[in-house]
Amino acid sequence: MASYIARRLLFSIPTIIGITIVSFLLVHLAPGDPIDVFVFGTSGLSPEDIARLRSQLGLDRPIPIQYIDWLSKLLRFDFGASFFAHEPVSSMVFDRMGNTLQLTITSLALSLLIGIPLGVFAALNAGSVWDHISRVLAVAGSAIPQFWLGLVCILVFSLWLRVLPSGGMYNLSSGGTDLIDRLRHLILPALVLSTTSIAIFSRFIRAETLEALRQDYVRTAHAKGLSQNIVLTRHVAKNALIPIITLLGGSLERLFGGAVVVETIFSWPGMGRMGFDAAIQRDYPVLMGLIVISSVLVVLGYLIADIAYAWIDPRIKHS
Amino acid sequence: MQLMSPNSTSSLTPNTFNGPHPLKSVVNAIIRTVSRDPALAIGCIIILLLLLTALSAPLISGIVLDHSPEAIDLDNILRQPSAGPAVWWLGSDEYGRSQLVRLIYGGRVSLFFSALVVTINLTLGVAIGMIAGYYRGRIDDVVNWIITTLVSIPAVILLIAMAVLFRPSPVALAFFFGLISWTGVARLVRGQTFSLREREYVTAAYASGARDLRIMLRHIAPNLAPIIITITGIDVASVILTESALSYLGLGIQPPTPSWGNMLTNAGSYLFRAGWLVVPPGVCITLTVLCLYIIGDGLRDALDPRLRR
Repeated sequence: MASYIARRLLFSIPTIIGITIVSFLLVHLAPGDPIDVFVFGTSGLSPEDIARLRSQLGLDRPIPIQYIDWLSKLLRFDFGASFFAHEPVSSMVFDRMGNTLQLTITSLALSLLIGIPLGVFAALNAGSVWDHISRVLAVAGSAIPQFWLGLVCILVFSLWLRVLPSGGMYNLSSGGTDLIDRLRHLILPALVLSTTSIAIFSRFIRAETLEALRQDYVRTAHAKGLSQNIVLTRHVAKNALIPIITLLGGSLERLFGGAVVVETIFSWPGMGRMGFDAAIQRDYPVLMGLIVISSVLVVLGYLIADIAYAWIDPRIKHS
Repeated sequence: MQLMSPNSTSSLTPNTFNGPHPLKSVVNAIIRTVSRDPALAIGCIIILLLLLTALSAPLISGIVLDHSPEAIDLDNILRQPSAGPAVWWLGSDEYGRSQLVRLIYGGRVSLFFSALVVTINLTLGVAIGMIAGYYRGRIDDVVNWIITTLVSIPAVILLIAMAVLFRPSPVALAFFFGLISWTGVARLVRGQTFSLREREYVTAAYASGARDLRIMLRHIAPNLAPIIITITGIDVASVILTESALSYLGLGIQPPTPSWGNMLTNAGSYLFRAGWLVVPPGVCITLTVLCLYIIGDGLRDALDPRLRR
């Protein structure tokens, strides 16, 4: 098991290096200089001053050298400082990462809580009206654009029905300690973010459950006289649920991308919205740091999913 | 598909097929499936109508409605949808622009944009996937590394960064988009090529002295057709979704050029006064994507060799 983990970790390293290369090239191949943004709005700088600033920041060195330098700083978790807030990027990101993780993890939990029962239900009633309805709902759920769903939800729940707040993480007056208030603010963005995942999970679980129900061991269990309930929980569940782990790991990329849009619509103070704001402001260090951190989290997600999969299914780690 | 049947009376030409040509059987399978499934047929009809509307948008707006999508009409700001003149069937936005005309043009823009991105996706994806699957070894390792790297970076974040850093025109944006989303196609093609490479007719062609490129284009590529056709529909749908999200954020198709996404950008601030602005673009996006998914599913059922009798 330890050797499997070590092997998987080793294979993640080229990917992470590739991510840093992409992120670095993106900013440095773009037209315009980081320096132009840095000095934007500052008047009275002569060309000599700008040139001096450029060499001070190390922007006149050849690109590979700049990359190695940036990479070595990254390894020490030094992402540089924001152009505008003059704060270290790492502290800015880690401040907000908790908020995004709240949203993301709640979304994942919701997709499991809603998606799995939906899929199992559809599989048990395969071919019936309910099965068709749930399939249509699943496909529709993945067809609706998330940002539009968010807008419509705000329209319906905040403006018409007035039951849920339209944005933010908590009421400023209560100071964030009221759990009910926090949940009220969390439920809508988390639901919107989880829509696609619910659709994908339910269809997948339906297929997996159908497949598991066809197996011989289910026949044997029924022949032994076990009730449908026991057959489901004791035999079918374990086998149908294993592949969900891989789905979970894979949904991180979708969630972090979707979080950018959802956080912007619901004014959620998270990493995604910070990235969007940084992009608009051309705050390069924050943008680069965010790309790297989000992507590394995705890679981590795949890694954890693979390791969990190998832990549960012993055949994997020996392949 | 047989390379040569024992009873064949044709002369020895190693590279001819005596069975039905692969592409023709694909088309037959598709036609058979569509004529059997009503939902699929409806989906196809809707998409065809959409295509028709998109292609004839200048005709409709210029001659039938006589209204340009960018025409600002300050006398008609925030008109409610009404049954009167056709131009105002869906109302107007804060600049007095007809929502109906913008919707039609927006569909055109979204569809053309997606078509461009998917073309790039298919070109890059099939080429790279085939090469990786055919040659394997080091080349496959490098391609795998690139694919894993691109897949790990959330596409939305990468696109936002590209849109902001390069300020691309819509065509350039489509190229950027294609540059990062070919990985899905490449993976499928690579997997398929892996297995196709082991078929007997490939070995026969190789033994007859055919060069790699010829084998890839003449033998492997036609058999990739089912998978490519299936994934095209789903790819277009996902590009439409991402492009509309990007345009909504103000980073995709820039106004005044209408796109279903950027029609919604400011609709949020008018939710109270003009709620009708929010509905049509979103419904169009959902409907289009839904139909494309249904078509993609139907095509996959039609062309999956395991499901054939």
